[in-house]
Amino acid sequence: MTVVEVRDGAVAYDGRVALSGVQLVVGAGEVVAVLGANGSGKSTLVRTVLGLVPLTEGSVQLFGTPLARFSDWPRIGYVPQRVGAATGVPATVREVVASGRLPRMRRLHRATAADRTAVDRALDVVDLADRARDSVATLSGGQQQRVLIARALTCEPDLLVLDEPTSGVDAASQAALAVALGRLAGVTIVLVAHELGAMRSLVTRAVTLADGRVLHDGPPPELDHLHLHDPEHSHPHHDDHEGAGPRQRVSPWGLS
Amino acid sequence: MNPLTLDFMQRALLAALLVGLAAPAVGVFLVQRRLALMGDGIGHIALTGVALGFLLGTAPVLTAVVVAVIGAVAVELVRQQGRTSGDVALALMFYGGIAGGVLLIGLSDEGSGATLLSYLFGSLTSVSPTDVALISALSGALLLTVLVVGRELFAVCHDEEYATVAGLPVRFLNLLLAVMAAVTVTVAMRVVGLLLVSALMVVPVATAQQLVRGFRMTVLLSLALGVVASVSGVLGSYYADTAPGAMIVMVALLFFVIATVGGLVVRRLRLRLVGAVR
Repeated sequence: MTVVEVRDGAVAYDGRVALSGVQLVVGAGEVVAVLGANGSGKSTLVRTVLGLVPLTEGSVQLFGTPLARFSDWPRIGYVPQRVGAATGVPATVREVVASGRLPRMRRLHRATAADRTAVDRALDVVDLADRARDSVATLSGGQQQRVLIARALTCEPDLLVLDEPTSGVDAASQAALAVALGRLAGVTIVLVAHELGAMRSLVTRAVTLADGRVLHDGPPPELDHLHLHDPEHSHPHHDDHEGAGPRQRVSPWGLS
Repeated sequence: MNPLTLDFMQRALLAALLVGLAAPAVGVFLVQRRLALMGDGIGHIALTGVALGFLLGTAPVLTAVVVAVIGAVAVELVRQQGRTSGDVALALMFYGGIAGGVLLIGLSDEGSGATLLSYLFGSLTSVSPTDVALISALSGALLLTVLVVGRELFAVCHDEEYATVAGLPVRFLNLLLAVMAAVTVTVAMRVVGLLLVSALMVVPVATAQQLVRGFRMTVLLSLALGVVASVSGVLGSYYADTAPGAMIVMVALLFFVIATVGGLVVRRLRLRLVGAVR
């Protein structure tokens, strides 16, 4: 079954071409990495798939339904590209994760036992059950990223879309993210990344973009095409190419 | 003389109680979205509404609600278009609101600078029985709305993009929050005054943040702090014979200072205890 289908996708911002002639078909159960340099259009591509950026040409279908008519949003879990999970008012890890359950909840009804179980399960998947009552602001960057993944998992999605989940996260936390995503048997995953890094073992297919066009679509490359990445021997410049913005270094944490 | 036996004080205290509940309940979402100054912007716009009321000879509270809602919705629409940044939109509200208010009050026969002053900083004697009825109805509606769509508002204010993909009616919820903020401003206007109303929406929330770590707890604590600050502020202003708005805000700020210092001390002590145990 086809989960995502983009045909002749083109996007332009104020006349500047961000995507052009993009074809992408993602089948059920695939784990697809969308790779590329900054400005290659990889984030634009997934945001187009989710309807956050309108197409100027072409079409998008989700689960066989044209995007304009698609309404089954609980089937989709989205982890936006963000610096952290904190906002102007403190919120506990559980409160943030539980907000992801809203699409599955009946309006004006209290949370049911099934809702609470879904939140518990999502917290377990990302190994944050013991931090549920802590304020998200007190967590490390990698842990906050896992909070956002847990939030996306609470509505038990069939398709999980992650926009740069490994950006600004150190090697140990990237490994933890990979472990969490590896537990999601059967869920179709589309993730945007600069490089495969710790996700390499999960990814079944890589789509590489350059200048808004698909450069490569096939098995994940043996080595990151952008540059070598080895967490054991990281060089000071290794994750700051092309000015990816300030990066937080967070302390490594162990899997419980 | 016991102020509780005076009719106007009973009205003022009841209004203060309701405003103390409603203002932080709405303000917490503005703070969450990092739009803490939104209430101020709407307060300035509402001043134009008050002056318009005097000019047209209708109830100023009514015109204030209408103008404030229009202003808040306009700013939200501008923000959604993404052409003007939020802070520039706010700045435009500040200038336009004050200028419009002073201009229109100058054109009217009834109003004067002194009348405007009672709307800017609140006035105990000016809370009429009609005002109390209006304040009760509107703040009741505000609290009910927060109870009903609070979860959705939390999700949208926490992460708008995520909420969009989750299928929540994000545009509607944003407009609803703008309208709620406008109504809160006009509800609180008689007691706290337009220039200080935003303080009651923000300061109790900021105070509660110093002491608790969850969103729900922040909301509950800020409601309690809002009520204590507004009721004791009204009583204090009766004895000190000052504008209630100023007294309410000073009390709220005093709580903030105490909570900040107290929070620091508690955290230090906790660290030291943990150190001693180890």
